[in-house]
Amino acid sequence: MKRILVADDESALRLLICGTLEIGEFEVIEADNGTDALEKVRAEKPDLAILDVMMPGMTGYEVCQQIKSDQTLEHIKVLILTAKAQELDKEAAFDVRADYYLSKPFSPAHVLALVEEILEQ
Amino acid sequence: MNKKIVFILAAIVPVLLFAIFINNTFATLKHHNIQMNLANDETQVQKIEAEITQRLVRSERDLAFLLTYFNQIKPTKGHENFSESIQPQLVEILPAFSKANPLYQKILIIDDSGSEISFDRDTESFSTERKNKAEIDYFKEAAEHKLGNAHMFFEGKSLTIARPIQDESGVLQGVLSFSLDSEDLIEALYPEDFKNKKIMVVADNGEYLINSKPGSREFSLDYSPEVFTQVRTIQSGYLELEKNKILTFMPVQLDDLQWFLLIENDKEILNHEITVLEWQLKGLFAIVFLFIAILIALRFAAVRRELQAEQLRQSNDELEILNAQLVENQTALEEQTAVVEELNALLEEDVVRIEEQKDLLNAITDSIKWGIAFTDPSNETLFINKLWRKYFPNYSPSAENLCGFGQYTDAKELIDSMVVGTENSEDVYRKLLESLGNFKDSYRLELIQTESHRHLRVKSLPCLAKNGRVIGRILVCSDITRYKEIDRLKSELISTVSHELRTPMSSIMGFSELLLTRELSQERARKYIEIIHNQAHRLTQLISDFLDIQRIQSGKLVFNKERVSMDEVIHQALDLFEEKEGYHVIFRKETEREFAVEADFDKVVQVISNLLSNAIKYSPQGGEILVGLSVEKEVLKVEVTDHGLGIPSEALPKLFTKFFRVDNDDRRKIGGTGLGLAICKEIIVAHGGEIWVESTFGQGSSFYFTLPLLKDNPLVQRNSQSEVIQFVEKDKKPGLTQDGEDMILLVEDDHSFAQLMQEILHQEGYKTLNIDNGIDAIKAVKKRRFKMVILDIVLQGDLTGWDVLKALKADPHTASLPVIISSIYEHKKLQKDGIQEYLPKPFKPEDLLKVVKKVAQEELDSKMMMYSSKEIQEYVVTFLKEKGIKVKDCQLSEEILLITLDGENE
Repeated sequence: MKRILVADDESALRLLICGTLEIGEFEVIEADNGTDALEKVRAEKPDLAILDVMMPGMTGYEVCQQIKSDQTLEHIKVLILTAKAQELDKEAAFDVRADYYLSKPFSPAHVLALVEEILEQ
Repeated sequence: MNKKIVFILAAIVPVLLFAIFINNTFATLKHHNIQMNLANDETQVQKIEAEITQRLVRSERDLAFLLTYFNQIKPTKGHENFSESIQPQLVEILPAFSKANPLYQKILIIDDSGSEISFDRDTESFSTERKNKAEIDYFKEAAEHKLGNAHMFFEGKSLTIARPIQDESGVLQGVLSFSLDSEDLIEALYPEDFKNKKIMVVADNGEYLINSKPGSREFSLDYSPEVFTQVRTIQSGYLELEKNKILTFMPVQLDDLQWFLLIENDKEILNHEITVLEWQLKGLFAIVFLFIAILIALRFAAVRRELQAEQLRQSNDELEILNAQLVENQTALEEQTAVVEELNALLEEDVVRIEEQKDLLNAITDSIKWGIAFTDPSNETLFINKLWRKYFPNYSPSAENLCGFGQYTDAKELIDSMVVGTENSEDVYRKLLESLGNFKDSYRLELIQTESHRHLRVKSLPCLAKNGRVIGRILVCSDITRYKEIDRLKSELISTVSHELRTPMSSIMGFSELLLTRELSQERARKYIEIIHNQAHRLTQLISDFLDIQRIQSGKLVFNKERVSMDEVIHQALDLFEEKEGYHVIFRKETEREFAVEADFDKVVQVISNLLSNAIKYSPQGGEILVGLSVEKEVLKVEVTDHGLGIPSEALPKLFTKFFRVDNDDRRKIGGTGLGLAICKEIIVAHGGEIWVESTFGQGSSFYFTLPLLKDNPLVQRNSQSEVIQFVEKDKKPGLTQDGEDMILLVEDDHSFAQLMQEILHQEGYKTLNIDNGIDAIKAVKKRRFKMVILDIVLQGDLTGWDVLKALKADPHTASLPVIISSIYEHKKLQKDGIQEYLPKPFKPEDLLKVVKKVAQEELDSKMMMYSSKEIQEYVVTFLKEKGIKVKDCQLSEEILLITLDGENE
C-alpha cells in the first residue's frame, strides 16, 4: 500500500485531502505543521509528500528542500499544494526541486488523478 | 622749499658779511682811537711833567728868594728859638708873599727846637705848633737833600718843598717849607679833555703820590703791587687791565727822584662815541636792509601777483575754450549718457530678471523631488541641484554645499560619484560612461545605495536646443524607494489576499465537489456541508474585514462620531461577548467617574469585541480575562488582558499589520483572517488614539488602546462607587442566555449599606451592580436584563424608589422584573403592586439571602427568551405549545415577545 504524507495546517484541508484520497487505497499520514511533516517523512518515508507552503514551523518549501537534499529521502515525490498561486511561487517550488505543483483551490478529482499517476510511476 | 632756503641764505650771507665788516672796521677804529688817546696821554704826561717841573722850579726860586730874605734877618735877641725871633719879619713879609704867590697853601718855618710857625693861605693867618723830634729830623733831612736827593716830599696830600735856613756862617737855623696843595696841583695838571681819566703819580718805591679819580678827585689806591712792578719794569708804555681798563704810564724825573705818572683809561668810555656811532650805523643799516627787504618782497609779491594774474588770464582763456569744448562734449555726453542709462536700465532689468529667473530656477529645481545634474557637450558639469547633492554627497567635495549653476568638475567625476556605494553598479557605470560622448540616446538606470537602502532611478537625456543643437545632457534622479516599497507591499498584499481567499475556497470547492461526485454517508455529507458552511462564513468574514480595512484606509468609511460614555461602550461590548465555557471576564474600572469620548459607538464596541474575542481565542486553556478602564492625563485607557498563549516578542511589531498571523503551532489551530487587529488599529487611529500590545510569550497578552478625553469630562459628576461586573463562570446556556441575567441590581443611596449587601451577595455567587439614583437605575434596567432589583425608597436625585418602581412596571420590557423593596418603611400592600418581597431595614444577612434566594427560585422556575424576529416568536410559541408547555404570560409588542414559561413544565 502506497503511503502518502499530507501536511497542511488547515484541518479542513487535511480532511478534504484525506477524504479525496480515501477512494484510492493509500495510507495517509497527517501532519499539521512543517516540522512535524519533516519528522514524519524521515520516520515513515512515505512514497509521496503533499505539502502546503504556509505552515507553522517550516514552510512547505523548506520541508521539500530538506527532503530533496537528503539522499535517503530524495526519491520521495513531493507535491506542493498551495494557495500561493503566483508564477513566482511556482518557480520557488521547482527551485527546491519539488516534483509537482498544484495551486489551491483544487479539484479533489484532479488531485486524486495526479496522485495515482505519480504513484503508479 | 630748497629754493626758499637758498633765497633766505642769499639774503642773510651778505648781511652777515656786512655786519662782520662793520664790526671789524669799528674794532680797528676803536683801537686807533685808543692808540690816539694813549699818544695824547703821553703828550699830556709830558705837559704835566713840565708843569710840575715848572712849578717846582718856581717854588725853588721862591724858596730861594725867601731864604735870601731870611738869611739877611738878624734874629732878635732874647728869644729862645729862631722861629719866634724872626716872627716880626715873618708877619711883615709872609702875607704879602702869599698873596703874590698863591701857589703855596702853607708856608711854614720849623726851627731846631721844634717850634713851628705856619701861614695859611686861605685863612691868611699864622699858627704855631710844636713838632716832635722825628718830625723835625724829617724836615731837616728833606731840607738837606737827605730824602732821596730831593728837596721836596709829600706831607699828607700836600707836596712839600723844604729848604734849610742857614746863618751867615752856614749854621742851620731852621727849615723853610712850602706846602703846595695837591688838589690845586691836580686842578692845574688835569687837562680839560681828561674827563673820565684817572691820573696817578707813583713814587719809585711804589707809594702813590697823587691818585685821583676823575670827577671826584679823591685819592685812592687801586692797583696791586704787581701792576706797579710791571710798570717799573717796562718804564714807559701801557698795560691792559681787566674790566676794559688800560693803564698808560711813563717815568717822570724830578731832581733826583724818579716818579711814574699813570693814566688809567676806560676803553668803553674812550670808545663811547665810536660805539654809539657803531650802533647807530648798525641800526641804520638794519633799517635800510629791512626797508630794502620789504621793498624787494613787495616787488616780488607784485611781480608774482602780476604773473599769477597773467597766468590766470591765460588759464581763463584756456578755460573758456575748454569750457566751450566741455559744453559741447557735455551735450554729446548727456545724449550718450541718456542712451547708456536707457541701455543700463534695460540691462539691469535683464540682470534682475536673469537673477530672478536663476533664483526661481534654483528654487524650482530645489523644490522638486528630483536630483538634477546638467553636463555640457564638453562633458563639464554645469549644474546640480540640492537633491542631487543629497543623493550623491561624494561628488566634488571641494565644491561642498555648492548647488545651482557653478564650476564643477567634469562629468566623469560626476558619474564616478554616482556609483559609490551602490549595488550592481557595474552595468550602470558602463552605461553612464557610454552616455558621456553620446548625445543621441536616452538612458534609464536604477541604483540601490547600499548604506541608505535608497533606490534611485536615473534618467539621462540628451538636451537639445530649438535648432537641434546639442547643448548637453541632463540627468534626472528620483528616489523610488517608496514606490518600490509600495510596489512590493502591493504584490505582497495581492499574494496574501489571494492566499487567504484560496484557502477557504479550497475547502468549499473541494468538499462541494466531493458531495457532488461521491456517494457519502449522511453523517459525512453533513460534516462536509458544515465545513463548507464554516469556510464560506470565514470567506465572507474575510471579505468583509478586508473591505472594512480598505474602506478605513481609503477614508471612505465614515465614522459617526458622537459624545459617548466609555462605560456604555464597554458594557455593550461585554453584552455582545459570547460567553464561553471556562472563561470569566472581569471589568475593572479604576475610576469612579464616567468619562466621555467622541467616538463612533459601534466601531469602538467592535474594537473591544475583537480584542475580547482574541483574548478568548488565544486562551485555549480558559482563564480570567480582564477589561480595564482608567484615565491617564488626557486620555482614556482601555485594557484587555488575557493569560493565554502570549505573543513571541519578534511578532509584536508586526501584530497590527494586515494578514499578519503569528506563525505559531498553537495559534495556527485557531482560525482568523489576520485582519482583526489591523482593523482595530485603523479604527483607533481614526479616533486619534493609540493601540499597542504588551505580551510575554506563554504567559498572556495585554492589549491597550487610548482615546482622547473630551475636555468637559467627567460626563457625570456623581459619587458612585467603582463598578464591578463579574461574569461568573457558569454553565453554558446556548441560545437562551442574556448577559446580566445573573446580576442583581442594587438601588441604594447609602454606599456603606450597599457595600455590605454586595459582600453578602458576592459570597453567595451573585453578581451585583449598585446605582444610587433613580434615573440611572431606570436606564440600567432598560439597557440590560437583571435577575432582580433590590430597591430602596429614599434615593439620591429627584426620583424616589416608588418612581422607579412605577417606571419599571409601566414598561412591558421590565414589568416582570422581580423587585425587592428594601426600606425602613413598612408597606404591607406591596404584593399587589408586583412587589415580590419586602425587606424592612435593618435586616440580617440571612434575611437578605433568604429573600433573594426565594425570588431567585421563583425566577429559575421560569425561563425567559427574547427574540428579535416575529417569525421566531411565532415559531417558539408554536413549538412550546406543541410540547404542551403552557404560556403563562405573553406580552407581544412589535418586536419583542416576552415569554414566561410555567416553572412546573419542562
